[in-house]
Amino acid sequence: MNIQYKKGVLELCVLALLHQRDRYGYEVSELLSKTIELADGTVYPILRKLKTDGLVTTYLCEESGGPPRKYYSLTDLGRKTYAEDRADYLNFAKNIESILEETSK
Amino acid sequence: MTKLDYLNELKNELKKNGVVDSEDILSEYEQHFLFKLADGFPEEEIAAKLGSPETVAAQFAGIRQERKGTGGKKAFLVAGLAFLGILEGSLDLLFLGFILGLTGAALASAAIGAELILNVNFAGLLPPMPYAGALILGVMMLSLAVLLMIAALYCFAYLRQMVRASLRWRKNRLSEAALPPLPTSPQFSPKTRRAARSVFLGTLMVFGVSFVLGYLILGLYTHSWGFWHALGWFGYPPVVY
Repeated sequence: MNIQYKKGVLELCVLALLHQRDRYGYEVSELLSKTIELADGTVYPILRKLKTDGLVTTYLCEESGGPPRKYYSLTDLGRKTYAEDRADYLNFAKNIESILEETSK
Repeated sequence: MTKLDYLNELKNELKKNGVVDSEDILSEYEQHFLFKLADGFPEEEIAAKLGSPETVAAQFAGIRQERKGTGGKKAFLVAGLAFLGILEGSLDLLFLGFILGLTGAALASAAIGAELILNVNFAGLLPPMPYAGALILGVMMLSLAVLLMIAALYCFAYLRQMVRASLRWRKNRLSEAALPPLPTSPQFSPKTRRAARSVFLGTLMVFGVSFVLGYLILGLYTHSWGFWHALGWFGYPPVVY
């Protein structure tokens, strides 16, 4: 699939995963690469971008037997952005679908 | 490419792209390697699946740099923390002095106890008394020494934990990825706690019993409940038996 399609929606997918609950970077990377074909290294820049944009915050959580894990958590802004972007995307996808179906008749 | 090669190259690429905070990013990728290795993937394959360090670094370079707290605000914070640190440090020192005092008292009690039990009177420090009484009082002094030492150790553990918690708190104020705060009271394992408690209670019991017993023996010996008068302690004229 065209890489340009993925790029735009990956942020939304990451937000969706973090909306469920706080996760650490590797968890997000694994969950995404299960359904979307992408290089494993792509998720971390996205997480970082979301952080600099103020949509997520991080905190470290000490795990028994291992270095502390960095968890990502949605901020209020992140939650708001997710709700809006999700609605936008679903609406957009619906419109595209209807165009494609109508023209194929 | 091995894990080390990959991380090194990524570091160089990040530097080339002028990305700040590369430590933070590298640790994320290192963890990725560790998780994957734990799942049994070879390093080469993990590195290949991550995408080339160049591409990854380029993705980081596209993000606008985050601004860490403005200079003035940070300087103010550091000054505040330093001032607090002086206050805290002096209180800690005071507490440390108290702990050293406790330790000294414990050592002195132990020395006196040993002298009493071994029936030596080094430097003529001990007042005269019959050996039966001295033995019991020696046991008492030894148990007192143990009690004081336990107190000193507990206080030291407390001081140590307070300093650690305070350092953690400082670190969290100054850096952005915050670690969970530490408790200020010492955390012993249940096993240690139980052991310490039973040693303390046992020793306390020995102390109480030997105190009463020693008092009784010396009282009976001198036929006086104020035996220290009769034995001629503290400058009283001794009664000769």
